Amino acid sequence: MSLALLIIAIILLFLLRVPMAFAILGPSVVYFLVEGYTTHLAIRLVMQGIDSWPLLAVPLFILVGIVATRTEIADRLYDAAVLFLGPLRAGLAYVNIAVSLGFSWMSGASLADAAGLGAIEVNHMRKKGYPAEFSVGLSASSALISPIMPPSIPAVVFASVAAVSTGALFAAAVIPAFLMTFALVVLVWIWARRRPDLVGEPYNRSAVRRAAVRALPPMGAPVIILGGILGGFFTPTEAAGVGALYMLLLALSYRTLKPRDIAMIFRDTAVITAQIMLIIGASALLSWILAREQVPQRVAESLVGLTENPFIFLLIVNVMLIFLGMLLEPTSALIIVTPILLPVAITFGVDPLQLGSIIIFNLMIGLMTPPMGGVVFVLSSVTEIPLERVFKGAAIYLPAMIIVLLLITYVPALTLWLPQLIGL
Amino acid sequence: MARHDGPPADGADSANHGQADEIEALEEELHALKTEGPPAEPPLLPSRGPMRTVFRVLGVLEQVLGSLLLVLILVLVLAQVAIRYLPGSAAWTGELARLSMVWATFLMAGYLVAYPPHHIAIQVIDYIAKGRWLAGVKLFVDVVILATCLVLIHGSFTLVTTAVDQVTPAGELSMRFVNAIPLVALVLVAARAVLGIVVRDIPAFRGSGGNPA
Repeated sequence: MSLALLIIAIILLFLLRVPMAFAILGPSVVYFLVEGYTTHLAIRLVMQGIDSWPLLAVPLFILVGIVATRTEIADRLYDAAVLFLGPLRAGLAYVNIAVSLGFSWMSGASLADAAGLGAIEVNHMRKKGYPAEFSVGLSASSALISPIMPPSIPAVVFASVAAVSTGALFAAAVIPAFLMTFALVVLVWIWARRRPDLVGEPYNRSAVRRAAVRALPPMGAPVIILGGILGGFFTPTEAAGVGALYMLLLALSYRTLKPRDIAMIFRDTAVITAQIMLIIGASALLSWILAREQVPQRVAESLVGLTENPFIFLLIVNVMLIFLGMLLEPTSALIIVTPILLPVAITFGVDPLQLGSIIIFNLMIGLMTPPMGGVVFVLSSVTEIPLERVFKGAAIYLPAMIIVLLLITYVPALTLWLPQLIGL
Repeated sequence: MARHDGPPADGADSANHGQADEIEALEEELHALKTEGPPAEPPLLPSRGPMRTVFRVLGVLEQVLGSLLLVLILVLVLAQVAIRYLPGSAAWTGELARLSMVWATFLMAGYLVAYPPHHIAIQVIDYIAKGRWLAGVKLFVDVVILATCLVLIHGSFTLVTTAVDQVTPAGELSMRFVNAIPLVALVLVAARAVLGIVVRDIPAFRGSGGNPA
């Protein structure tokens, strides 16, 4: 069975709404049957793709994110941000960004941010007179801070596939995530200058102080998780476990969690884990096929033949990844492209940590572009704003994302300085 | 949105009440914003009869087992942290946590098919195809899932029947048991695909209704 046929079949199945995992598994098992490989090798490769200690961080970070959104924890963050930033002109837009930034230190997935906070942020903004496209587009863009800022689930997956330190990759992503936040703030500031009608409400200093105190305990989670990893106290998986325990205890201490809520939190964590892990298992099978067909070597030869200039190489990589991100779910794309691009990038002198940040950033942009646009689909569902309007809204923020992407692509210090500084 | 018209508070009781009311009002508003959202889709179940009960119980079992495995993963990872400070080795905790993730993934796969739309999929076709065409696409999707599961079931069955004396390196769990869980889970996914074809896709394709999920 030719490789081209395999890829075409996968893309066709994607477009025909076959679940991502089965769209990859289906043609891959046909390849196995046609090429005479045993079916038990196929299932073993799928299981091996999931059976990984670093990947155990994924369900635990999902758990942290779900506990944060389902309990008073997210509300406390939101309260504090509204009272603190609300008085600014277009304050709710800054609140949207600030809450996503705060949430990103606890959650590593954009979909969790979009699903958990999207409805609150967008409905609140619309009720206060903000345009629907602007509001939902901002939520889509700010939701992308979560998978870039550590703890990041895509970073865990990349580190696992590329065999680099997850802690170092987390450190490498801090500056790009802050740059992205800054870009969104600048965009909102420029937009707000033309909207004097969106005046904030006056400050109530004591209410702000009280809300800030209430938001302090939730901010202990990022201190435990990031401090634990970057300080060398825990592995990322252990930090995720300790962070999840802290969040559960915190939620229980607020006495708002009923036993049924706890059961639902674990059930929903299991559902999202299965969604992601099935795709990871399927992609591991496809990666094996690509390795057997010597795709990494062929791509390397083609790229080296095309250019010897690292600047152009990175430009090609970005264009290719943006296109891939538009078509593929980020986790599967990460597992498929990382083994292909990593050896070539190293020959061009690109550091694996920088490459990881570039790949993750590109694929996350794909979450707000058609046709895949996972964040857009989630936001359209939770806000009931038609899909095309959400895509239109997200497009407002795309140029800012591209500028940040180009910065992290061509200024290696933005990703490499911090890991080097803390000796990772 | 909270009103900011209360008196400035600097320790006075009335001021404290004002702050509490303000934050309470904000939380009420947030709750109202949170609860707005689209209605959930119905699960994929036979319309009536004992098979409905069987599939409903299976769905509950999958959810309970998936959730318990997640709890187990959390406990084992925390145990790994604690054990580091104790003498001796407990490599089995990491191994069991990893296997639990494999089992939870496969066990929840059937749930993802039965309680749509949990699987991650591009649903652009829904905006293009309507009526019978869309029903045909959904029938095709379930056939792809079923065919893929059948091949993987064959592979899992071979693993279970050949790995008779093998055990895992650290915990010495029987590999038959380790591989049997994905086998059972894949059979449940295939059963859901058959259910989808019979109770939803074929009736919808013929234009006689069917479960819309």
